[in-house]
Amino acid sequence: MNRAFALEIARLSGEHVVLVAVSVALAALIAIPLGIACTRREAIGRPALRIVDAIQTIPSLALFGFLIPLPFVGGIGAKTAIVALVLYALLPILRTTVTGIRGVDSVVREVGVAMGMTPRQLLVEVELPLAAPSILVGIRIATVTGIGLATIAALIGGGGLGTLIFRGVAMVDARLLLAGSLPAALLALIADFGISRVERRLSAPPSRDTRV
Amino acid sequence: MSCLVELIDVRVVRDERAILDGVSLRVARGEAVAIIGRSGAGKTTAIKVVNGIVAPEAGTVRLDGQSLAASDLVALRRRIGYVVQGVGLFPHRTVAENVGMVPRLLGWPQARIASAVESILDSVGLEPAHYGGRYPHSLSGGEQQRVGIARALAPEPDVLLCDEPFGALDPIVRRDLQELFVRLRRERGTTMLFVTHDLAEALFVGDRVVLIDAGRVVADSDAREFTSLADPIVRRFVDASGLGGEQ
Ligand SMILES: Nc1ncnc2c1ncn2[C@@H]1O[C@H](COP(=O)(O)OP(=O)(O)OP(=O)(O)O)[C@@H](O)[C@H]1O
Ligand SMILES: [Mg+2]
Repeated sequence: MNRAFALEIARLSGEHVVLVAVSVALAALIAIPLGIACTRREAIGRPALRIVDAIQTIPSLALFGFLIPLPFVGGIGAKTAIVALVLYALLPILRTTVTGIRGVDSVVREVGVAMGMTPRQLLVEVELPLAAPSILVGIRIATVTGIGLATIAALIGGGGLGTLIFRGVAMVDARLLLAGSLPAALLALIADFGISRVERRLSAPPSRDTRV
Repeated sequence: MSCLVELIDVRVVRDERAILDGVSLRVARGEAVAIIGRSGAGKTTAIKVVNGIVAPEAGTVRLDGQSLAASDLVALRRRIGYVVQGVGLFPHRTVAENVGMVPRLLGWPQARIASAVESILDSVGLEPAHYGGRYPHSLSGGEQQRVGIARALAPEPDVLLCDEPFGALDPIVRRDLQELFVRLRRERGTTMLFVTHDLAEALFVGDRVVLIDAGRVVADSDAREFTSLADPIVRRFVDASGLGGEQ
């Protein structure tokens, strides 16, 4: 493997990481507040979950295709790819935020209310810390699946490791295919491992014992 | 004596069933009222009406003469200590953080919180240096229960609501804490509503004993006279507790 090729793999891996990191971060910024809103009002919760569920059922190839002709979010390039990746990352984060907050022991929540916490204090002091491990599971799932999905971004000019994979498919070149997919798999493993560690750090001490 | 806690004809309905059916209860400032009754009678619900966790369908709840419905519940709850049935410690907070939570919400300076936490842990028989930094999951059931009691007492509340606070305690610690409660009343003048299954405990801690059955108050009497009441439900309670021997 020559030096130029190695550099290209490194550059595309970097693009890949940026695509996924930016989209998961944006998705978290949308899905966590939305998830909190879902637990506050059924009227938001039901439709929001249904819409996000529906997005997930759109085949990824088709979603990228649908986005291209759209104004603002569409077109060719990394921006469109990020929009698509954000849409896919919403579901796991939204779901785990909702289940995490709903899973807070009702006695603990009641004690918080009874000791005079405002709804905001209850959220910050009790609900979010106790839901954090669950929310991180969502972020981890979104990241790992996002790393796989982001390979399709190359199709619409989004860059990343998919560029090598599509070139490999077009040229029926197994070496190119591997050069794209192996680093992607490695990135997914690293992300999985790294975020799992943070999850364990954040989980409340009771589960810290049992999970080591 | 002015009336600190007043429930007037309170009705709470769940699933089309009245779980409190016209409950009236007055607690004077500094008084300790023990609430007894069978499982499912509505004791916990009656307690939760006082701090507004349960909003009654009908009737009035007053604290210090002010209707709860017209009060700032957040501010009011910080003056009411609550020992919940089932302890409910914050699992992600240390013992000291649990106990210091309300003082922190009240904006006490750090040093005052630390000394209050230390002295109240001491009072409930938990060595502050040994227990302060531990997490709830590493404590025994009885230790957790004592942390829950300490948490309710730390901010020196005007009113203390206790829902079976001593259930998981051995008889020695239990007696120590009963005495602590009696002492707190003398020293701080804390008003107490105290739910228990144990009639002897009710008579020891309470000035008055209120018996609730099926959502109604069936007896409300001075603790010294309770065991000699003629009401059949009271009699069953007294006989079952083995306290009616002299009758
Ligand atoms: N949210 C609710 N929905 C429906 N029923 C309820 C609800 N809360 C309480 N109840 C019912 O109301 C009755 C009184 O409940 P409560 O918790 O006040 O009883 P309790 O006297 O404290 O009993 P225990 O001694 O077992 O704690 C019970 O029959 C209970 O099932
Ligand atoms: Mg109860």
